[in-house]
Amino acid sequence: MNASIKVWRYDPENGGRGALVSYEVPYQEGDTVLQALLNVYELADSVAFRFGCRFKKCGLCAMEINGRPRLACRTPLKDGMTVRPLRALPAIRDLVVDRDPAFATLLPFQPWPAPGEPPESLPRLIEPVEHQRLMACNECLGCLSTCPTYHYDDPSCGGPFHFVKLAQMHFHPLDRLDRPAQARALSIERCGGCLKCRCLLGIPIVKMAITPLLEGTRRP
Amino acid sequence: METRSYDVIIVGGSGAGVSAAASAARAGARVAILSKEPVGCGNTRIAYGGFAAVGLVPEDSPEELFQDMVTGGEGVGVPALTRDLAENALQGPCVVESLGHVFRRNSEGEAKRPALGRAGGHRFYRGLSSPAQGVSIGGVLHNAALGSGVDILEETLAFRLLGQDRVQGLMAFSLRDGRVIALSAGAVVLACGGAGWLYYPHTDCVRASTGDGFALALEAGAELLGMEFMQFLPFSVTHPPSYTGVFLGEPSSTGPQGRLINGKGETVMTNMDTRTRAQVARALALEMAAGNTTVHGGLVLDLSPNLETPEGRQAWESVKNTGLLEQARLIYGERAYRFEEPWDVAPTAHFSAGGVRVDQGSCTTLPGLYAAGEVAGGVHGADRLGGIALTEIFLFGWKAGKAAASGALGHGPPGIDARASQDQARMVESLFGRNGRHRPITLVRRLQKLMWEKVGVTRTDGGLRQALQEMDDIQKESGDLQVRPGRVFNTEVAEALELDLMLATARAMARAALERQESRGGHIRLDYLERDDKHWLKNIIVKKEGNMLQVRSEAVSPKEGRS
Repeated sequence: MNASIKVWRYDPENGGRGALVSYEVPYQEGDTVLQALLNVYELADSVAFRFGCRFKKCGLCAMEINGRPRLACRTPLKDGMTVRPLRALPAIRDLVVDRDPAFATLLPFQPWPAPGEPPESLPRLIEPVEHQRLMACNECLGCLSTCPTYHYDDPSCGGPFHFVKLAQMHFHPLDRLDRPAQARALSIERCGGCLKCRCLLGIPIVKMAITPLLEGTRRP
Repeated sequence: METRSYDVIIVGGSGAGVSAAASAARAGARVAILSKEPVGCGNTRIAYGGFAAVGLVPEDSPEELFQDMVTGGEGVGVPALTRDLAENALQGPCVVESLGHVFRRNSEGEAKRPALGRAGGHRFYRGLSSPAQGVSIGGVLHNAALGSGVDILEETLAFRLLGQDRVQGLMAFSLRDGRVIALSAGAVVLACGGAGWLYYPHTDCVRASTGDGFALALEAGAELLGMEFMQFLPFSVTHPPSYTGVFLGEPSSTGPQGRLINGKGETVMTNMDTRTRAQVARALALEMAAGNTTVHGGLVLDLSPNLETPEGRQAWESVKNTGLLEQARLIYGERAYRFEEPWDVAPTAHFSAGGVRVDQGSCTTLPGLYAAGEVAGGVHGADRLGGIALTEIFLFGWKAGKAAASGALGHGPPGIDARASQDQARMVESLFGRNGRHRPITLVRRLQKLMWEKVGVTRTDGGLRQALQEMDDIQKESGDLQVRPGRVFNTEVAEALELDLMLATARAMARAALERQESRGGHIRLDYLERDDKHWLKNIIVKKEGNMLQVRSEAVSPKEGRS
């Protein structure tokens, strides 16, 4: 059995604005969109896409499938699907986007612990449940494509990914920087009441990242 | 051609690589990380996330862990390395917490029971874990690298080490824009993981695990040790093809009443929860070699008898709580998740137990070259315990970074051999737009199929010789490649370079497997089914001399590593 899949092809070296190209691929029950792209690659054409683990952990195969950001490895293939790159980030080639701007936005805010030598033993500490949930972020960057205001070339404006990363630090039991203030520097006020952002893995971004940062909820 | 100069270059951007980079930078070195994938997206991120540590329960000690590792490794680990890990195991978790991670604690906030697990092969509770498993560790690595002030070259493939007698840098290819870069360095640390992807799709490793580090070291003249020991986990998905090889569980998670049944309906094994990964994988492998499989090529793992006993139901509950059953639920369905329906399972390539030969200072046999993590060999012997690879890679990654920094800073920056680097750059340039007969991906897939069939869970003398012959054929065909032009994200050029590295690693694995005429740990010879301590308490060393691979064996010194 075959299925057709329309894949966004874009090559900056060949000019043009990109176009959808349709491919027929073999189809077996249980196939994912990632499997279809691997089939296209092996059987037909050198389409560019990222992937790593085939089971939702590496975060590399996030793309827009039928208009919504999804992980290709966790999306069942259906005949006639359309795949495009994440719209929130600059295109590199085909389905590959530039991930750097998403990380660069965070750089001034030191989203890391103070560098030092490792301790000799594990200190006593309590990890808040928010931290446990937020650390499930696999950095796929798909959430940025659900945000109506994020744009990668405006460093004064963060997106859901950035607020998740700042909230991870906010709820880290040893962190001492003022993360709500950093979130305000990334215009988190604009998020009030929007509620449109979605995590591909189901992390409650508004409840566990945006609201605590907006309200400056005290650390436990 | 672009050239850059550093004190220390780290090849690999996951657990071992980032800890090496962070420690080298803290020691004052100018450091670059080269990573084929975005930093933090390696096997550390997709791991189940257990870290074995000593001293968390009073009855445990480094000596006990050492003994468990010798038992699990079936006596052919390098004792000094095994002992180093056992004595310093707590440092691995301490390194990853210093990079921003947080392990599960008990209600008092302590890393003690009941917040500890016990993975296969461990006699004591040693297992630290994290609610989001390895994903949470991957999530701190990128920022930890940035926070350490190191240069990050992502989606950049190291394809050749530079230098005669001493490593002075390396050649790299940037996937992003097709650039070839020559990097000089006082020290190079290999921290780029194992060779699981040589068995795709029969692997639970990430796509980047093509064994590059073994090939780089070998080609430069360093010794490899124990390359015949690939660890196959017994239980992975057999179908659909999208998920073939995805990890399903450990022997320790099968409960007291789990049964392994072959394709003829015969019970092959019970009491798997008390057995090692190697013992259970061997049972599957032998049935598969005899052709006693299901239609999907695997065996049947029936966990339903657990539901009939209180301790079995308790086992299901505790396995479920660790998150280990998520894959079963999402791929095989709700009834499989509840143990009500049996699973179709087959072994999957998980971990290279062998690798680049190192001493206790992370030095390889080649000056200027260091190795740490899965790419290094000898710590685990013939098979490794559950939940100890992450401990190893953060502990030894950190140590290797320090050692490389001190080695490099004492040595001054080397020059780059202009002729050698230009030859390499021309070789890469010649790949773009080449119009031959074979696409690199076609040859890569052929090699992977060959590795699974002939250098996989079971091996024979004849099969290994055929494999080596066919590797030569693939090498010849790789001289006639068809590669797209275009500089931007040209994955075909990267695959062509990777293919060469994969072939070098594959040959070393097949040659070592041919040499070891016995079965031990992850290495099963159908023509030598028994373990033979009389002749094979040895390490097999592979080294390149001229254009030939030299293979020899050295006795394991039981005295070595005694404290």
